[in-house]
Amino acid sequence: MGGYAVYVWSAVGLTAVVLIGNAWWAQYKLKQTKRWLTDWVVRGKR
Amino acid sequence: MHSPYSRGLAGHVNFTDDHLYICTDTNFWKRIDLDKSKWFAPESIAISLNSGNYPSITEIYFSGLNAIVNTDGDPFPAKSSTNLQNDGVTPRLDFFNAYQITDKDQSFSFRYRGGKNSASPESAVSGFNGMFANGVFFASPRAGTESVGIYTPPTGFHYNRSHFATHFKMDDCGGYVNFDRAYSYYNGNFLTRCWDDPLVYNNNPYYKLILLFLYLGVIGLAGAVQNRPQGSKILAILVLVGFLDIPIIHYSVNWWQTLHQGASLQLLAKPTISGSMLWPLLVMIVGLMSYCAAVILRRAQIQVLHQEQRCNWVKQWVQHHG
Repeated sequence: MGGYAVYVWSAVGLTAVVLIGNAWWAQYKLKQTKRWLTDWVVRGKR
Repeated sequence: MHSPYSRGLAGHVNFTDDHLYICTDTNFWKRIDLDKSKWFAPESIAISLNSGNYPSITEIYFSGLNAIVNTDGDPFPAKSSTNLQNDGVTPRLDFFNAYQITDKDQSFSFRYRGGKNSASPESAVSGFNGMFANGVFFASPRAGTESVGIYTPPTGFHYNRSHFATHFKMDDCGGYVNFDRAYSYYNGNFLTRCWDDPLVYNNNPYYKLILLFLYLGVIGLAGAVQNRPQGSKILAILVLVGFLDIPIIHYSVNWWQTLHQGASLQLLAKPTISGSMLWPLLVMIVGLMSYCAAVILRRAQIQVLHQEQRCNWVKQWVQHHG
């Protein structure tokens, strides 16, 4: 049974990386959009 | 330490043709090399006794891997301090013989794990004599002071579960008989061997393949359209049409003849999962749904901000939140 632990933890780790990364990416894109809107739309740098 | 079983409790014993395994601590096995001739010496187990009060003739010889035992069959154990002739004819009425068993020639064939018996048959050793590879304990009738009832098996005769597990190893369904005499599965080979077989499990991958193509189509279309507002409408229609595949996947298990296992969770029926798995599953379902909703809403927020960038409310919103 011991030989299977590495696969289990790999799957758990990969899932965690994908979930956290996806959430982080969405948050990052929102910040980027806000900055872009602030610079180019609100301050009229267009 | 290697053993056929990596898991075990102290006191568990198991053997193969070559080794004896003793579990000395939880999941820790000690391996001892077996000397076959000492483990079961054929020279010492012949059981012919032609003299005395209870004469019987028993021959043991070997044919291939089989030990052949022929006996005139003393069907009832002789009782100590009685004097009865075992002539094969006279019923032993003095004994408790409810089934009226009479002498009868017997011929047994056992699969044998030791060497060949080259010696002449000798006097029987009372009680336990040896064990055959099919798990049968070989015991001769016991003549002692204690009474022997016909309802109890001879001493030392029992189902040898450790040998059964070793000898048969994993069966075609990946299981084996464990030390508690329960049928068990011991590793992921069970999943591989059983669930990969279409006779056991048919997962209907084609609807999921259609879903993959639809998904790729949506991504491709999103990248191809230049006219954003119109492209979005086309995309939305494609997504709605594609979503029809989801209930088809879900109910294909019930609609078409399949070996897929039935639904474990239903809204209106009692769940068939045990509680120890049901609650973690429900918690995880709620958690994943919440996560997906949060991420999708955030993505939608970004999309809406981009599309409505010229609107006044976006300017106001950015000034407040930016």
